[in-house]
Amino acid sequence: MKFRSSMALRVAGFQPAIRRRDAFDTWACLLLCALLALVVPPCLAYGGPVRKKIAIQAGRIIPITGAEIKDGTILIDDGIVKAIGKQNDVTVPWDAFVIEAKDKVIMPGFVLAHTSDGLDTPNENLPEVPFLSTFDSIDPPSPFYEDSLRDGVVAMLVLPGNYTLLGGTGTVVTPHGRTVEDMLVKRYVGLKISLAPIQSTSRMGHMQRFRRYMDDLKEYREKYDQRKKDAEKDKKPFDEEFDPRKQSMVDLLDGKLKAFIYCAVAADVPKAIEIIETYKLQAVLVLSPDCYKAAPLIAEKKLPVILDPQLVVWHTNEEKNEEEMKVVPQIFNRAGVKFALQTDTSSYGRRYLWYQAATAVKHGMNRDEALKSITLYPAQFIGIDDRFGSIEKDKEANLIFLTGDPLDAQTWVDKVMRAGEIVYEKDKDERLKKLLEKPREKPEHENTD
Amino acid sequence: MKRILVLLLISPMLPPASAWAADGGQVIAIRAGRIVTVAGGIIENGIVLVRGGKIEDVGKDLQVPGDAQVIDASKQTVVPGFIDAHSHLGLSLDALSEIDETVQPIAAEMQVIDAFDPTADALAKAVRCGVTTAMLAPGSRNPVGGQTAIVKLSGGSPDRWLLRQTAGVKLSVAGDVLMHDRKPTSMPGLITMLRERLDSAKSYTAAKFDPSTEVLSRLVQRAIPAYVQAQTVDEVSAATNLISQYNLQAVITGGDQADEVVETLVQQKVPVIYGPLLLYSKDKDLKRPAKLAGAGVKLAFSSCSPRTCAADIRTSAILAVRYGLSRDEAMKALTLNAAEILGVADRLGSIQKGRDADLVIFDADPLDASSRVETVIIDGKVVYQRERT
Amino acid sequence: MRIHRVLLILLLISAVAASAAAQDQVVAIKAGKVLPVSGEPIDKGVILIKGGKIAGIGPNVTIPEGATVIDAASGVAMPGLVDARGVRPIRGELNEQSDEMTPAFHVSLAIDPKSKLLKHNLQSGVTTLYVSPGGENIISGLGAVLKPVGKTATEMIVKDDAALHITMGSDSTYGNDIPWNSPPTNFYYRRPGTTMAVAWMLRKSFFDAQKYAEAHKQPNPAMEVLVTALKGGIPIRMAARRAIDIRTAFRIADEYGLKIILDECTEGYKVPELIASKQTTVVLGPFYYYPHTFNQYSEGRECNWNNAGILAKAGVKVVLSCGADPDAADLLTVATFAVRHGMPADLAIKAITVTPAELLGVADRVGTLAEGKDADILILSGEPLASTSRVQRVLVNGRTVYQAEQ
Repeated sequence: MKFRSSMALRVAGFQPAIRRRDAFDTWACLLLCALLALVVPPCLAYGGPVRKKIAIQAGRIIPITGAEIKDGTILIDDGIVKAIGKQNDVTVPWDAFVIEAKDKVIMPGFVLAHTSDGLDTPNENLPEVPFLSTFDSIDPPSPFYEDSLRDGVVAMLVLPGNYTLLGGTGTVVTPHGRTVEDMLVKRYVGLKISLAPIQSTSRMGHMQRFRRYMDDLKEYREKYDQRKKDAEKDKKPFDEEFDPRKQSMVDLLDGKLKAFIYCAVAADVPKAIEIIETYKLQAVLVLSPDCYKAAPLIAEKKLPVILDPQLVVWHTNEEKNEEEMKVVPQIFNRAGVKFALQTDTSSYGRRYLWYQAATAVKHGMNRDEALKSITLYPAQFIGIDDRFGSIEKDKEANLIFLTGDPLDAQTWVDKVMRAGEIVYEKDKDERLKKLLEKPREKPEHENTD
Repeated sequence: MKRILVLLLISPMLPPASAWAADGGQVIAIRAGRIVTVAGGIIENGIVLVRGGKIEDVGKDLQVPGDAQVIDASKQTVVPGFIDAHSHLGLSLDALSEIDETVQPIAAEMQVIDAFDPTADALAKAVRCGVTTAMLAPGSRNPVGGQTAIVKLSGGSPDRWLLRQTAGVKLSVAGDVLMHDRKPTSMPGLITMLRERLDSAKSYTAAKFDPSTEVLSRLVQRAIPAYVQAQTVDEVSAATNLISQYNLQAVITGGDQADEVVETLVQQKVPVIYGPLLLYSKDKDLKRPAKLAGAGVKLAFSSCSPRTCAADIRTSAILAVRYGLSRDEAMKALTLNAAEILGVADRLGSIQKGRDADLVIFDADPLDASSRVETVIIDGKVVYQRERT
Repeated sequence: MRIHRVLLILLLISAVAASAAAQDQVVAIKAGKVLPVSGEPIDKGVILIKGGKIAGIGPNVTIPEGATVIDAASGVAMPGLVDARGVRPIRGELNEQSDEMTPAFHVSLAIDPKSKLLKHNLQSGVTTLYVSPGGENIISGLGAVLKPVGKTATEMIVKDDAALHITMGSDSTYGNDIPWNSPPTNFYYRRPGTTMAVAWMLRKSFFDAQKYAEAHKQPNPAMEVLVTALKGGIPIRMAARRAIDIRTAFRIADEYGLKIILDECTEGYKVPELIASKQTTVVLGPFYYYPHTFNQYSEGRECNWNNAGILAKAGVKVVLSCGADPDAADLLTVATFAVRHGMPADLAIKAITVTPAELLGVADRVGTLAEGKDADILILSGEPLASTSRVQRVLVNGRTVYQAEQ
């Protein structure tokens, strides 16, 4: 073999001794690579650099818990709010990344306490499937999640639908991420129970089905525990697994899971209460529009509720033969019931949580309470209020930057911040641009016939 | 006395009227504590004389012929037999589905008499409640349902009970007419269809015979009346518009909300066969007949039997009185008004000389809900006598 | 005796005066802000109403003695809204399904003065509404302009047989085949089954109408209506969602020399210049984010949220309506969101007041607050385009016909 050049020689593996200059080059390269490796990957993260320390200088802050702050500062470190106050009262660390938002309104991101959208199918065929989890059917590319993020929702509890007796357990997600794991906030939250007798032929049958399930479960548990006790007594090994299909119902009975009970009509509410009291459950009621009629009963039992997206119901007063307008949030508010609001994605207006809150305010509800019903209260109902629902020291920085007052119809969500990270920016929202702008010109043909 | 006992014993067992083949012999004298003549006021302690199926005389201190069968009703009330002015009594075995020929929306050539069963149980029930005559009508699911008939509830041969084979034509502008898979499917379609048919009826000539249009042509010539089913305000308005547009002789049946547009009814002199009022009707609705009568509308009651019971015309009257209708007006609605509306007042609806002897004896005021029918006489024959147990 | 006579005369005079006064009942609205629409907003304005008409409007109007004063000091008064395709207070359905071409279908014959939807209209601030026929026939018939108050349909109607309606696209093909297990004599077994046939049948109808106009033996009400339409004697409203249907609508209109109004126009944003060049007014609505489709043809699936804004910017006269859908958002919400998505606010307000009034030919009576016009007034608790503003009171012909619960 004959080699024509030193390069070829090197390539072929016949290396003369490394000259000193080459060694220096190599170490320099290695050092450079090491430095780059430290700095570059964070820069490539979606939405910009993940900063450890952030200071938001905001024109207006609505913390939800506590008074509004004009010209305020929010300090964030590692995704957690460290301080919040007027600009003059908060010292910004020298190494904090400052986000200027003097023309923006900052408030906690919206929380949706109940939805069955974004699943392939919300209801199973069989009535008793408490072992299912929405974690397995959340569809991340669904436009529902994209729209929710755009509309300022930072956390939502996705539960099975309204037409399965024991539908399964829910998952709290942030509507941002390519996979469910990316989106995940908290798993195994809430167990959905429905009193709508779709899978039975009547309400009588439906209630009996539920009671029979609970009785069978009780019997199974007792027998299982007995077998376990007997094995221990006889000092025999016990490796019989508790039926995993029943585990979630056991957790419900043991208070580890909250029940989310759907009431299709007002007459279902006393039935829900019966279930809650008999089995001593932690529960939230998911209401249909008709359930305003049960407001006094719900108030008496101090149950938290989630209202249907339809907030205005027309009722025919048979005696006067007149149409009466019932404003559901007003009725519950006057009765002293704490509620969270839902949305209806196809409808103008009702699609937005802020619009739902505005409807409540329109009909007399206190503004602060209305804002709580789309932030703090839903966070409390679904058990994530340690992280979501308000801007407070030591809570996660899950915030939205608004172009104006949250209840103003001309306000848009400018940015969404999730645990200190910007996960949505309106300026970069290509799809929204497409929906609002005139499509590009296509040449108009003369004779379309 | 003996004769009465015999009557009492055997009359319930006999089919109505069959034993009494012979006319013009039997004289009946009813001694009544109270006679509500309707046309001529109330007579206390009077006598009604019946001969040959007609009322021979009525008054106080009448001469009772020796051979007369005397009915002692000295503590009771005699009234003219009630007329159910719009009914489906005895039609097609009481099957509601058979009173509307819905295959064709314009069924003017259908005759309701063809569906009538004079031996139906429903007739006996009606008689027991004091109803002696009924106008039978097709249902309300066709814009033009067919020809109505007037019958007495006596049974026997048709020449006894058939008063009119074609009393009028039943029309309907009620929402029931609209169906998904048959024309018309909408209100404007319904009104337009009726207008088109009435227009062609106006230009009808016998040269181009069409049975349906022929009947409608009699309607537009005012030779026979239209009975138009209309219940809500918009339906009644639609009906009165048609009536005035085609200058029809017409009556509204149903008329539930007619009182809200009563001015038009008064102006066009359109009577209303109302009803029925039911025990569960709301106060607001129970006041309506009184409002109609108070404004000057001629009022009668209908049972829409068998949807409701034939006796409900009496219930309607009782409830209407409680909610503002005068007792006189209520009695007239059950009797003379109905007869006048149906065009049979020369024979029915009042107790006076020459009228048919269709009489009902109540043990107390018929407008008292607890009073019972004792005896029913049609064409001078006792067709029902209450069994005392 | 004389005293009694005098007293009687005095009584009579006062009775006559009282009844005259009742007819000339004077109402004055004192509003925090008045939006006449035909002019600049007036702060702390007064609207004077006499005999059901606006007698005066301005910041310094004198309120006569004995006038009923409506205090709306914290409220905004504006013209009652005009819905050019409103939620219909009718009985039964509005498609005469027995035929595809029903030009002589009169919507006015279906109006139900006791409909529950009348209160819905009033509660959302609508004081004049146009009731259109259904959209399932190719030529569906004649609509009517009415006010949602009155004891009978006749009292409610402001303008009967106000426009002729045609529906392009595949709505009318819905159900036109033999249903399973049904005899072939079912009257739904007929043309059209495709959009091509819709266009063909429409052309044929106009063609037949032209022939009819030249010569006919028997008068035919349906043909009479079409002849009037061909001569431009009655406005023609063509409902078209997809851009291709909009083009087809214009193509046929041009063939017969017709000027048309476009209803729905969901994909209007794709062809704004074409629409502007024809000087066509468009009536948008109903509005959904994921457009409603009731048939399998999935029409209008593509949408642009700023349809109204894009069309307005191109110079098209835009009217916003509820699209006859009781489940759709109310008219004020529709206008609010049109502005949110890019329509100028002043045009959006006009789009629910004066522009539809002009379209319906009733602008001499309604649509703006001006002397001589009907006193159809909407009083809100705040700005009309704010989602926190409530309808407080609605007046029609000077009478309060709706008042919110306190």
